[in-house]
Amino acid sequence: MSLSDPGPPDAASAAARLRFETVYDATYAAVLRFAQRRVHPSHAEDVAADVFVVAWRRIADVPREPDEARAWLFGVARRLLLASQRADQRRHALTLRIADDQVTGRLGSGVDADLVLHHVDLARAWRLLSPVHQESLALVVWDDLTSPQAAEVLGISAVAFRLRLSRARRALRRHLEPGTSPTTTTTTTTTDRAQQRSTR
Amino acid sequence: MTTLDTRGSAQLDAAVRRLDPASPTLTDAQQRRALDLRERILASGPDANVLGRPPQQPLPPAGGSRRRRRRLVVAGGLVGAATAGVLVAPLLGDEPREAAWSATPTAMSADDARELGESCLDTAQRAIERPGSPPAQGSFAPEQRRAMRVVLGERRGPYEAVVLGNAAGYDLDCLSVGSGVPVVSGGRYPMANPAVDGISLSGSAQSVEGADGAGAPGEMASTAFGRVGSQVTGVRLSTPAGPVTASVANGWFAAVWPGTDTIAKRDPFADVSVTLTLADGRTTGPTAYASFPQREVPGG
Repeated sequence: MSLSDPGPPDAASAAARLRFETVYDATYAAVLRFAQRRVHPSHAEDVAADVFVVAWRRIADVPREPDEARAWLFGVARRLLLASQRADQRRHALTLRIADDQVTGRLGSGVDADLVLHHVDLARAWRLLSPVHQESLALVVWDDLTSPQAAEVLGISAVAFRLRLSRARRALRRHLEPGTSPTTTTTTTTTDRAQQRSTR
Repeated sequence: MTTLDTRGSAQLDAAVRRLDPASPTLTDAQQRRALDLRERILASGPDANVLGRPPQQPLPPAGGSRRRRRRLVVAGGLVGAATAGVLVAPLLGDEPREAAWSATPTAMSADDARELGESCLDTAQRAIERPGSPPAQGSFAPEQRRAMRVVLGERRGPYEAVVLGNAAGYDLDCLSVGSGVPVVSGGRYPMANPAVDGISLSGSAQSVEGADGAGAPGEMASTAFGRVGSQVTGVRLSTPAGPVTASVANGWFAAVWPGTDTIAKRDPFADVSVTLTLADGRTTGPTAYASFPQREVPGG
């Protein structure tokens, strides 16, 4: 045995390893998807790696219940992403990427013109949402969190989150109404900036 | 072309789901890298450089700062909360303000006003249920809250306010900054019945200092609200923030303005005066805020 070999784990560390393996296997894909929604795909695995390094260090703090563990890890991921933004440009919400490729790819090559147009409308309406509203919708619809879990990720009360979510849905509907002009907004600009900042 | 059906939340969410940019499954290469990462982490000590680069450190959770996010003071009671009976329910959570305050209100849709009103009632209920809270009274009493309806809503940039009132003259007055959970104030006693060409009023002032930089240290927002007589069509206030045009609807008025007074140093309404516009075109005032009737305090 070399001096650097930590040797066989004791009972406590064996339990921690088992616990980490369980959490990792159950949540890695979800954490990676969480990151893919918020940073460039080339950076998503780096974010997931950082999340699980934190989880290993703090394995005793990770909730036992799988869904709660997932939400806890999302909270870590979100705070990592916020921390990666330059302090002077730090925001209170992360902008969300959308599946632009579907417009020119999977949907664009299909025969259902309505579906393509709907997607374009949705994509445009999404970009008009504030980052706060984008994040509220994404946590529930894409990340599949309950309102209390999403509230925990954001560090706000469940009531506050429900209010945000309700307003986000209303704002998106408003942007989908005919006649809403496709203006370039700050949201679009910050999306690009945030992605650039997040790509190391 | 067909119309995208997003009327219900389920339909809207289903549409949003199609925008999800994440891959539904891991590729073989991603799975291999995931297994490799798991082994490297497990083989490491807590402080080891697993990633071959310095690990990122997450920001601390927001929960800790949330507790100090909103400090509330009751300053609008003039003669003090004990006699004017202003009750304030503190609340949690907010988000950054999005635009500048305006001296003239913009309309709030009925849906938004109703939603904020419901949030206010929810806030009030939670404040009452908080362990150690005194028994609900005045505006916060269940029988008064049940009878309340949104009578007025206004928006000034990031500031949104609604007033809920009932026929007995009780009110709940709610201020939300940047779509955050509202802070709710109410009265121990009902608002005084105003003269036909006058108003009765009350006010509250609170810190909007945000732990996330939402407001400058010590920054305040003040709200004046009350009932208007049947001949009053307009209410303008002279405030430390400048002239402010109040919203008037359904026999009530409300106005919100930002203030920079250091918390609790002085009454933020001390320098406020009010000018009324009447149905026949006349104006009255400016009249000092303190000169108007406030609440129906028994024996007061």
